[in-house]
Amino acid sequence: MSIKAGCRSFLLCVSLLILTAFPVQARSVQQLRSGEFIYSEQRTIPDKGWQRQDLPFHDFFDVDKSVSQRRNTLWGRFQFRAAQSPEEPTALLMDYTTERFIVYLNGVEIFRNFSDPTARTFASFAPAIVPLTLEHMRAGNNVIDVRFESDSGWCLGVGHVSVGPEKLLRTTYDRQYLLQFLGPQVINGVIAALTLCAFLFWTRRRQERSFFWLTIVGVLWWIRNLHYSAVDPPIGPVLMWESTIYTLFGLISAFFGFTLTVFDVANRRKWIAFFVGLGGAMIALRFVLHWFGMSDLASYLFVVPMTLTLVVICARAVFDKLSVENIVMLLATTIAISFSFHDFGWLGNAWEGAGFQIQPYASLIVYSAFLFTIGRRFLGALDTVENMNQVLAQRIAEADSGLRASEAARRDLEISQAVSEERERLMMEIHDGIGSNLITALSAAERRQAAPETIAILRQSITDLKIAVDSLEPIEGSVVSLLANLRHRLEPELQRAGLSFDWRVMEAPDLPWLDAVGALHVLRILQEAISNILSHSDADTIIVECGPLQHDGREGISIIIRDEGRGFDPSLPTAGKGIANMTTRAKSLHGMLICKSGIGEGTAVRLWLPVEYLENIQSVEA
Amino acid sequence: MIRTAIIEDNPAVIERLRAALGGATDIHITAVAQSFEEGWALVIAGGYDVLLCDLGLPDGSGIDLIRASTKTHPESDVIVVTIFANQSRVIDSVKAGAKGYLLKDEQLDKCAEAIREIRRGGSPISPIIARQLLRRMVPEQPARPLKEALSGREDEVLNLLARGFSYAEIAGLLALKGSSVGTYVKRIYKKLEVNSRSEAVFEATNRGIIDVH
Repeated sequence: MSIKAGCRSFLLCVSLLILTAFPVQARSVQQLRSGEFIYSEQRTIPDKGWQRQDLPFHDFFDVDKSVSQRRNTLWGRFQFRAAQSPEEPTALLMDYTTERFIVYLNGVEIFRNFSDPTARTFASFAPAIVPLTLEHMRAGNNVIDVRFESDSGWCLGVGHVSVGPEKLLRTTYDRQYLLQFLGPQVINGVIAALTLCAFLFWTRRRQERSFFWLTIVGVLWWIRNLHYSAVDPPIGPVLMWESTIYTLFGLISAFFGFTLTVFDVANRRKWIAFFVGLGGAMIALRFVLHWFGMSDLASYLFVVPMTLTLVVICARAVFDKLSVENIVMLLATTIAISFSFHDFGWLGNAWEGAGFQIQPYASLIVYSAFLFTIGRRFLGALDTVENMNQVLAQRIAEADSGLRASEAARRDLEISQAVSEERERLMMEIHDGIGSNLITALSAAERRQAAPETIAILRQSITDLKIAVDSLEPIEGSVVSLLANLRHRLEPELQRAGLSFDWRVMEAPDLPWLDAVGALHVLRILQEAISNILSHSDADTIIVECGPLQHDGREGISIIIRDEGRGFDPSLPTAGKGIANMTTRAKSLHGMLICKSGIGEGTAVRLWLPVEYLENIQSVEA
Repeated sequence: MIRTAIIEDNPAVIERLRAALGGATDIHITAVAQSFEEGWALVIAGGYDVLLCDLGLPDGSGIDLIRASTKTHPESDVIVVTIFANQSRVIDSVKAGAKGYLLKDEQLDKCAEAIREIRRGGSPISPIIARQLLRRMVPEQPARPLKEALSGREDEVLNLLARGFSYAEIAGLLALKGSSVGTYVKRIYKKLEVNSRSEAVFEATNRGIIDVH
């Protein structure tokens, strides 16, 4: 849900709530704007001393609250005009009455909400509907007197007073009963459940301090909301009222605790301690004022700057980061404060407003918003953890495969190192042993001018040994390197014989299967071809070509060794032996060898080797 | 006059070298050593332009003598005398500072020319060695940048050498002077030596850090 849509639906809910809260005015219902009041303990309707007061009339704040001067009874007088002959059942509707009341119609008692004079019915927030008995009604002006009684003495008064057809008033009564009495009950139940959740969560995760503060807020708010719906509190109405009032200060402190924790402000602990201290100071102030019998209005005034500070904190958070949570927090705090402000003004008779206390609704909205905020954060944190887990799992997998790869590489390296060490040892052996001896023999033969055949054989042996050594060189399957090195080896011999190479070697793919045995086969084939040219062709140039070549759709490389010498007749049996040898070697390499020659046409030996072996060829060979 | 010193344990080879160099008026054999110990003294004494050095001495490795000679007489050239010029030996020698190699059989007859060539600034190379140098100095994924990387032209020259082209053919293909291919090779040898020296330092340092046990 986008921020905008969220705000819109939130505002819609609030305005709907406020709209439905207003009492519906029927045309024939008379809503009384004022009444006459007198504080009097008299048992009968007082004759005089009535004072006109606007409705609603309450003495919540500006009365003397000292115990000694407590006034426990208030008489109210309301006048209305009835039709000439009232036939429709008529009723009186009052809200925000006190614990006990007795209704008189034209001087006759018609209703009392108690039978036991010590009853302490506390349901002052439930509306009261009293049918007006037709036999006591008069055409024209009628007088209703109500005697209000309260044990606490400073919450005497009445909210709205209407007179009209009972049917119409019953509808209004039902709505008010729902919104002002049942509604707060349900809301408090929900808050209790949510608080329990927050608490249980906090017991499992003590480090989540926002859940701690949410629990405190929930508990205090639950206690404070009790007075809207409590009927017969076991602690009595006086203590009930006291606890309701003191809870407000605690609640504001808890708000700070929660808000500062959620926004994680700098020096959070110090600030929370400060605001909790301030809440304590307000409680103390109210206690002192109450003790000395003074109006406690001053202690409530402290609430204003504190709550404004809360709004500022939330607004700053929104300014810092425009997140859904921060906006919801700001809206919730603003709603809580404006609803309290509404109720405060309504109780102090500053305005009519919704006509009842809307704070219980604020408590649900705000509590849900708080829960939403930290719930969202918690879910965000869960996502982060999940992502982190994924990232970790991935890293572990990477590290694992890296480790496997490096382990495999290490093993390969060990093997190749062992091979190369062994090769090196052999080389050394050949070099310092046979090689050295051959060189000494050649020197001796040359010095003593031995038979040219001897010298030639010695030279040939040294060359063969060199070629064998070359086959052991690590060339990683590079046939081009083999070929190149062969030239390097044979060039001196060829120069002595007056031949030269026409070198046409291109880049060619490496043969991954080419090991030392294969390399020696390749070298021997090439050596044979070259030595054939040397011995029989009478040519002066050996043309060497090499490059990639496909054969039967398979990648491979082709090496051609040819001359433009005198050639031979391939049908002669003497020509066959060397070629057969080369062909056998080529076959063992899974390759192909073609020799073309003709008298006077020169000779060409073409060797083709595959880049990769074919499995079926291998099996046929096997 | 090119002053030449020889370290070689095979008397037959020394004999052939003496015979081959005897006719050259511009080359003078200043000292001959037949073991590692004598060779060490020879290197310390110095006084040569070219050192012909065998690797397989009975009492030590010629590689160490090459390294010592390169360090104490960097102006002198070292030529490895070998039977096969197999790549591991040549490359180890080049890493130690050798600038060329001489095959003990037929090339000994031409060793005077090889000595002159190396003084002119050219070095011999075999295709397999060229290939190895390419692998070492143009790695596909270098673990760290080489101290002395190959130039584009050096890379080209090495590629052709690895494919078996002769110096003259390469000079023709790349339109270089005939003598400069050998010069390229000598320069590449020098780079390998510098790189392997810095590599050795790097690896030693690395091992110092990693080997905790």
